[in-house]
Amino acid sequence: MSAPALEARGLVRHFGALIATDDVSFAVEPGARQALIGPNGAGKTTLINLLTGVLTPTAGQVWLQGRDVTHLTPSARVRMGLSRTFQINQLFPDLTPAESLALAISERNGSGADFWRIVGGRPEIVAEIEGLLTRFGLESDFDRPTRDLPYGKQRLLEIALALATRPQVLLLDEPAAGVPEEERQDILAALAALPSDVAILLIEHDMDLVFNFAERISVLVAGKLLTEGAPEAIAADERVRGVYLGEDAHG
Amino acid sequence: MSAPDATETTRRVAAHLHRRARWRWPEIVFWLAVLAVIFALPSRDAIINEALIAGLFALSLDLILGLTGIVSLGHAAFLGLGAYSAAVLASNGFADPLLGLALGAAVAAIVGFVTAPLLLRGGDLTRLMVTLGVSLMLGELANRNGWLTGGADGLNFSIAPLLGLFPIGFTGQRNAALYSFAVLFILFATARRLATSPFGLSLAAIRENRLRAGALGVGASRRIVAIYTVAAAYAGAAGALLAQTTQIVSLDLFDFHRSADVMLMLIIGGAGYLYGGLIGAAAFIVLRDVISAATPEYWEFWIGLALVILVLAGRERIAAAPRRLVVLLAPRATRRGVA
Repeated sequence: MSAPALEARGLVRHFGALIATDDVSFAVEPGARQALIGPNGAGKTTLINLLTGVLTPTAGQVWLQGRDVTHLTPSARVRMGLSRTFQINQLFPDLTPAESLALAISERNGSGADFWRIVGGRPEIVAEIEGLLTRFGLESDFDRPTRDLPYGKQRLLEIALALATRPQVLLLDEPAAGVPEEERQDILAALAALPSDVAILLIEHDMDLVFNFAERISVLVAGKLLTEGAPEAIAADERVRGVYLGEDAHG
Repeated sequence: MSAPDATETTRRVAAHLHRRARWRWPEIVFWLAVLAVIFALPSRDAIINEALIAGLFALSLDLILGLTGIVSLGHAAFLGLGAYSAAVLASNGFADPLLGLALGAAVAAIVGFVTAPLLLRGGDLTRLMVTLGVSLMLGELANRNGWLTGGADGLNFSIAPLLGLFPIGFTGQRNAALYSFAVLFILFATARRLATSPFGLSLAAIRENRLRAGALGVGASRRIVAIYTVAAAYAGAAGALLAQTTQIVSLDLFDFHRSADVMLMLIIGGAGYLYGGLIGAAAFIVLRDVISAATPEYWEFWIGLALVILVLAGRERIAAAPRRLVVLLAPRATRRGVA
């Protein structure tokens, strides 16, 4: 059996006296459609930061495709196939979508430090940019500064950029957050059309989206992994209903 | 249906990505105009030379500040290093200008490379203080090592003719200006190329959103060290030119006001599009010349007023005007394609 695409082994993270992540172990299998849910303050953001390398764990390890990456920088992990999107847009306001994608592709294929070739000087890069633009419905906006794009398009660019790194594992941090209803369908369609060989870990508050998308759900509560399982099992789990779905239903 | 569409889109995306790389005719006019001014105003060649060198110095700052978003208040460190390297070399009998130019750029590049890691941590204030501190230290080292630098007296030296043919300096003011022009143009064209490369794009990404740049695999630290080293080499070349064409160096090259002036020039001209430093330097030096001829004691008052107005009232608009002009005059094909 092949190694998990991404694995957390006993991850612990303290902030002073606060234990934000408390001995979390879980695995994301290759090509998985997995969701990570949990109430506000459950430590989802800390866990993402530990997985991507923004934070160093107090204890425990992060394994990516059978390799220990606990001490690698975020950008090194990206080059090894772990990519992410952000809950709050992290884009390049003055660059256009085409330029942003050109950057992501150049970095991936190792020509990012090339200082003499012109951006997009290679036809295969242009073809790939075009493929991503089309896939995410950005083909008519490719030359507008990102700051001028409608919010929904910016959310799509978030995902397009992450996918341009050709990840084996993609962490989607609330991809539909703040998207107006009329643009929501575009996001859902884009998520459904993500390549099936990429393992996806969806961090999301929106239960409709989670139960539509995920084949497996991990529930994080107060820094600990409460339970994991298929959506039906999670929906039926009394503890989960108690800490999360119950709260959500009242809210 | 999709096949011809795809081809059309491909062409448009490629044209879009290339749009900054193409030389446009306003740029060509700009460079020809500078060259024409050198020939048209022989009596002003000394000040033109000064403006060209200041333009190179400001271009150097633009590489880190405008392209990459790294602030510096100590850029004079590299100007001084380049100048003193060229001067010391010439005083020791190696008077060839190109040799001195290369040494000035190389010494500045080495010091830039060594000090660049100091800029990787902390915020803008840290960087301002670190760069300022480095320039203060280097200035004091030049002061204390009088056996090499002449100390407070500076160095006077003579320089061989360029390529063994063209005297530069007091006996060849125009040659000096042409020498500076040639160096500026070559280094500008190189910087322009660099800015439109994947490397240049990654610098823009670091400037715009370092967090996301990292999330796309950009190793920001290495890129920053690389561009800082290049910028230091450019400033060192400017210093070498200044030393060689005036045939004198003094400790004032390391002074804080040099670092402040060059930032002023870049802000006046607009950071981030490479021409800003050249335009700002020319404006700064012409203004200083004109105003200080009219009211010698008040010249800094007026430059200060101009700065406040530029920064508060409309630096963006004023500085972006030349860029807008370029966009306006851009090849129609690109824009038609979009419409």
